[in-house]
Amino acid sequence: MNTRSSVVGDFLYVIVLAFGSLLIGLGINRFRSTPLPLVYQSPEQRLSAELAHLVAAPPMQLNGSDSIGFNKFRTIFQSGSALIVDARDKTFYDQGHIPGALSLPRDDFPSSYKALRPTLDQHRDQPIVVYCSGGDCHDSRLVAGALLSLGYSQVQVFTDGWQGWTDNGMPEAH
Amino acid sequence: MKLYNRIIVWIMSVAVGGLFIYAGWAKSFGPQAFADSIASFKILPAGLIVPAALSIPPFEILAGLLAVTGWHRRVGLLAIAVATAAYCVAIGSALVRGLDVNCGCFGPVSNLRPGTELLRDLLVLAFCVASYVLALSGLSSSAGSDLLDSSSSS
Repeated sequence: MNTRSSVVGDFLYVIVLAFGSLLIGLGINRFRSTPLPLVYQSPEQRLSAELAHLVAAPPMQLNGSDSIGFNKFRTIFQSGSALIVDARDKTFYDQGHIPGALSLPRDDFPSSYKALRPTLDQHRDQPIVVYCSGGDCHDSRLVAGALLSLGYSQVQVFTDGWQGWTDNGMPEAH
Repeated sequence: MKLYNRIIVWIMSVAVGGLFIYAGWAKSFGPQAFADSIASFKILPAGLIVPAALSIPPFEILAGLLAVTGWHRRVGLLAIAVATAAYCVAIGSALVRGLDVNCGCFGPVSNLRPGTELLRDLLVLAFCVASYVLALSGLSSSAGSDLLDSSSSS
């Protein structure tokens, strides 16, 4: 066996080793508790997918302490003791919203959340009140549920929403 | 192959083989983090990043075992040399492009600067090539009597 054929033979073994390693790696991944998807997703894509999954979860079930009515919300608003979050579509937010409220629309939750995250994180353990149109709207409960899942500890829903706010002649911001 | 050449090959094989076994083992616990490291080099398309992240750790462990145990030692050394050469190209190209990358060579705990990583990989590559050439020269000079390199009989 001459040197050249030895080197070629060794290279062939290396190729076999590479294919074997690929099969081993795929096999181990298959039996992981959370297998890696075979097409790579960047950290931003993974966060977006996770946020989209969170906001698509069943709406938060409200109990007495999770929901607040108009009078209590007005007190909170006047004292400035909570971060107010508008869960309606951005179009409605632009037409009018509660002064000081941040727009975190349920339909665009992943990208809006990422943009607002620095501000929201400052209120991780402080009161956050979410509202939507009012009445039977679900957006506030979906967004509130997602925020709770993300670790924000004091999230409440203003159940009267935008409708209740304007019906009582409260100020609007545009 | 002369005795001191055998000893040199053995020491360098155990050193680089052991390094590769450790590197593969460290990476195998965080495939997602390693995939993120590979992606940061911006060389491979998205469809190849995860297969690379899954296959490189077992490849490194197997190549390291071949080099350390002496069973097909030349193949192990060549595999380590090929992988290290690829890492050098990747890190070098990242340096040229001004990318701030973490090679993830030893899992999430590795935090050397890319320039330092490149120097280390060049050193490993030099060790591997030298060991491989020595093992190969032993094969041609001793016509199969090289007991250190059992792959010579394959």
